[in-house]
Amino acid sequence: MKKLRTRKHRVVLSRSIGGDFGVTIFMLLLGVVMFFPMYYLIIQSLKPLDELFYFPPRMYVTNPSFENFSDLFNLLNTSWVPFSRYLFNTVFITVCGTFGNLILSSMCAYALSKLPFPGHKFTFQVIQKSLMINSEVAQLMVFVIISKLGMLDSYWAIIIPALATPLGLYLMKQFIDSNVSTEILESARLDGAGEFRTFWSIAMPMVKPAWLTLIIYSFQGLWNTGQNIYIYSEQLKTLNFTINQVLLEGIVRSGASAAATVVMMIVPIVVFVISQSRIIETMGSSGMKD
Amino acid sequence: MAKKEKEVIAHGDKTRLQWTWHLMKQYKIGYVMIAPYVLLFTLITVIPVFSGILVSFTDFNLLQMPNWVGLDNYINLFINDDLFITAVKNTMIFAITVGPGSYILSFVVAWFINELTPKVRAFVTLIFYAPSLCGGIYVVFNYIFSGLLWSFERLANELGHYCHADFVLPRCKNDYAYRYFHRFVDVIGYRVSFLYRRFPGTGPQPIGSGCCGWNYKPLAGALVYHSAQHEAAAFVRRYHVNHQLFRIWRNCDNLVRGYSYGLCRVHAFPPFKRIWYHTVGIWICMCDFHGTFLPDDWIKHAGTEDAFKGG
Repeated sequence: MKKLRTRKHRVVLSRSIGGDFGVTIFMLLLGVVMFFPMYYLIIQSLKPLDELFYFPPRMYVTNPSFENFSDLFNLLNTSWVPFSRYLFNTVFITVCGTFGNLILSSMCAYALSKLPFPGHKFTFQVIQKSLMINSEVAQLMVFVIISKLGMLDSYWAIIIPALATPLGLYLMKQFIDSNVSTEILESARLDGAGEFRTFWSIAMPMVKPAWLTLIIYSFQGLWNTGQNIYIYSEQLKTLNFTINQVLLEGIVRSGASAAATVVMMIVPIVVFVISQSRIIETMGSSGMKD
Repeated sequence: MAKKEKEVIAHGDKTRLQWTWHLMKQYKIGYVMIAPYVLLFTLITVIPVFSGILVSFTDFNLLQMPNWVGLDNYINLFINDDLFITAVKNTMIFAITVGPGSYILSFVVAWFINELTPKVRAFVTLIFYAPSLCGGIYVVFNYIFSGLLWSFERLANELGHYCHADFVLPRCKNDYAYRYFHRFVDVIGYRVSFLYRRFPGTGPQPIGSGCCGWNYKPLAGALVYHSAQHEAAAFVRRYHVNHQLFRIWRNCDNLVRGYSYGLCRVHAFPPFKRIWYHTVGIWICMCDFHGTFLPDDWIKHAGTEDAFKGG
């Protein structure tokens, strides 16, 4: 048998140096293509006006300046609703939606996964099937329902649909299924913990990676909430909507709109980096001896 | 184990119904825990999907009470609308290539990334995931792949106004931009002119007319009016129906009737977005985007009456 290549006691994926090289080249190429739009936008946002309109566009900037960013904030200051209000709207919607989604989904997933009440299989089947349905399909009727509930033109019209996402539940359910052992929960119950306590203090810390994944997913969706059919009042509109107004102003605002995109993408990236650095494999199951 | 045996014995004594009732009582906390999610899920997904199916058999237009029309909508869609079949074909092509392609490629890439050392891995993950984190970033590829027609179209829209109003000039530091704009407008100006010739009151508005930029609103109104939705157009004028809703509704209308913009936007944008969403490879983007972005018929009919007849 051929000796496996190891690096720091781990078996290495490809077994030859040529293979390593090939994979690296492939990843580099792919990475360059993936990173290109971000690079291009950042470069665009740093270009002063006289460099912005060169044709064909240049891939570098000779005199970087923050002119576009100051342009953007001057533009935003001219609106009659203060900029901070838009920011508050987005942060409120994002925080409520993300944490609500997290708690509802994980609670439901825990019950579906660990409590064999009659109907749990059917409920999960329905939710799983709904993953196949594109949310736009139902949008018209969701609008009708939201308007009948009297939630039009309020934060709830955005938050409520974001609370019950099938994907979040599915993710949590699969993670709880594979990472939380029934024995640990059983022992917690024997020690007198109620079901909610077992859920919150025992099961949840074990599925932290799933939590963080769900936070990233949900945050990203809600943060990018832009124009939508539910909100008419200017003072309830979101940051993304406002910033996109700059984009709509066309070619004279190319610099400012590149700056706007850069501003909007910084926050999700920061959230992503923070949560990613906190994803440490939890060793919940290592306490068990099978 | 002992508990389980006891349960099995207990099961033996009881009928199926009694046993179910017993389990329901034993795990009633489970129902409490799923209640909030399931309620919202029913409200936001289950009811809309099923009522949506019902509504598809009526002539519901969001504004009036629906009447039952049976299969009329489907007959219109499949038989009277030749562009719908094109849209289905394009969607199938995307589903077949993007679906498996994206999953295989993201699996392979994830596997490779997982082999890296933790710090490098964090960095590479960020690089690969970032485009999907920031919603609108794929527009950069949009500009590149969508071909000249679409971008010329938009440029002409915008330049048409700005050059007309000489809006851009005070901001220019050299006159390169000035010449560049004018050359473009000369070359492609004719492409959009048919739109505003067709619908008076749209198009670039003169300074001081109170309209800023390309005036879309009358154009939308004209499209609606043209599609024989008289009541709806009147309603929109009278009650200022939510603008965004109106837009979505118009897009649906466009989809059914095969209007150029609505159609190409509806069937070209979502898959493009999805490509990024799954952190997929770019080779998929390379597929024939020129062909799908604007249907051939649109180009053929552009500038003629037929462009607005649909179906």
